[in-house]
Amino acid sequence: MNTKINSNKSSLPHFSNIVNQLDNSDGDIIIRREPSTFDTVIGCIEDILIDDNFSNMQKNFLEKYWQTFENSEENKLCYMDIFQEYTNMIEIFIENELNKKIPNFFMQSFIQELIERKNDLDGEVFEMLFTLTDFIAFKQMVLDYKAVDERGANRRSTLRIEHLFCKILKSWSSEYTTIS
Amino acid sequence: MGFLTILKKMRQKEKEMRILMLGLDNAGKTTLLRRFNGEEIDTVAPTLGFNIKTLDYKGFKLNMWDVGGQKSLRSYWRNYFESTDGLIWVVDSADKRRLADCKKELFSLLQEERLAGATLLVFTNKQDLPGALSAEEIRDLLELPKIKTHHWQIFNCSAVTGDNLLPGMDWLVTDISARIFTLD
Repeated sequence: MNTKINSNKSSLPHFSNIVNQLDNSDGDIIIRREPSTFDTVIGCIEDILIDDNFSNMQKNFLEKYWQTFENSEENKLCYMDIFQEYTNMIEIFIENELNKKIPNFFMQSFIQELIERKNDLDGEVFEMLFTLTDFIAFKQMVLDYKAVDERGANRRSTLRIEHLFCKILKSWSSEYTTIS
Repeated sequence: MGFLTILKKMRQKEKEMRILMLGLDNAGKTTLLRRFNGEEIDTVAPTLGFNIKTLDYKGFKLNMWDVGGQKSLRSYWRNYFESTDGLIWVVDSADKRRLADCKKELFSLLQEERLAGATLLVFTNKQDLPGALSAEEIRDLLELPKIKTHHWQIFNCSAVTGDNLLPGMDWLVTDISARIFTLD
């Protein structure tokens, strides 16, 4: 599949790795990228997800909202808004970091490649990304954060949120446990 | 749409379905969900938020979302449309007074682009109550045969007694799986 870019736009992205450019009937330029770029992007996302900046961002977010959450079966409607804000924040963060790390990174091309490879998206990075989009995993992460706070632990100095996050990843699709 | 949303949509973990349960308040959505999940139903209170249950059913993993139906909550329903494979519309068959409201809400949902691909199961709940209208009567009053945009079917049931829940769920799961999993 190809990515269409409106040729009228002055800020047409320039790729160093363009394989070919074709004009199609409605005047758009079709840009095809080399597949190897995909692996580079995935590698970068992995770096972004394990970076301190990422876990600090998560921690700030949890700090802002943990008091809203309650450990009860029924969810408040506002949880969904908070979850949306969370995934949007992560999405923007990852995209910004990719823009910094990869010259001429173009998200639409990356999305196209994701779609082309939809049956081949295995591995830890994808598990992490899927977890980030899972509401139940998100709620559990907030509740774990809250539980630590309510037990009076000195969270700021002892809890490293990435450990919490990794713990959630490990318990993906099985029983969740709180940090003790 | 951002790449995380797209990624999430693409993840068709084998045999996984997302089911959204909606309907007017007091239709019995939460009771139905609990009954289906084999939980006790004595303590069900009006839902002010939403419930999620993940159940294994006939080899499928069903992610069931039940959102409160009070009028003030209905504007939030839209937050739950994304990636819905099946919509269960629950009707209180004894609440004749609000069938017009029920019809209006259902048909406005069917206009939603993000629900365009969803299979519709209508449960005419509370068949154990005296004076409950039958599935056939409700089908006609709601004018369901006008629906051409979605696969739909209507089933009598009683969440309290558990009667007839399974045939409805079987139809829903079969219809979704025929649409989704045979395309791959």
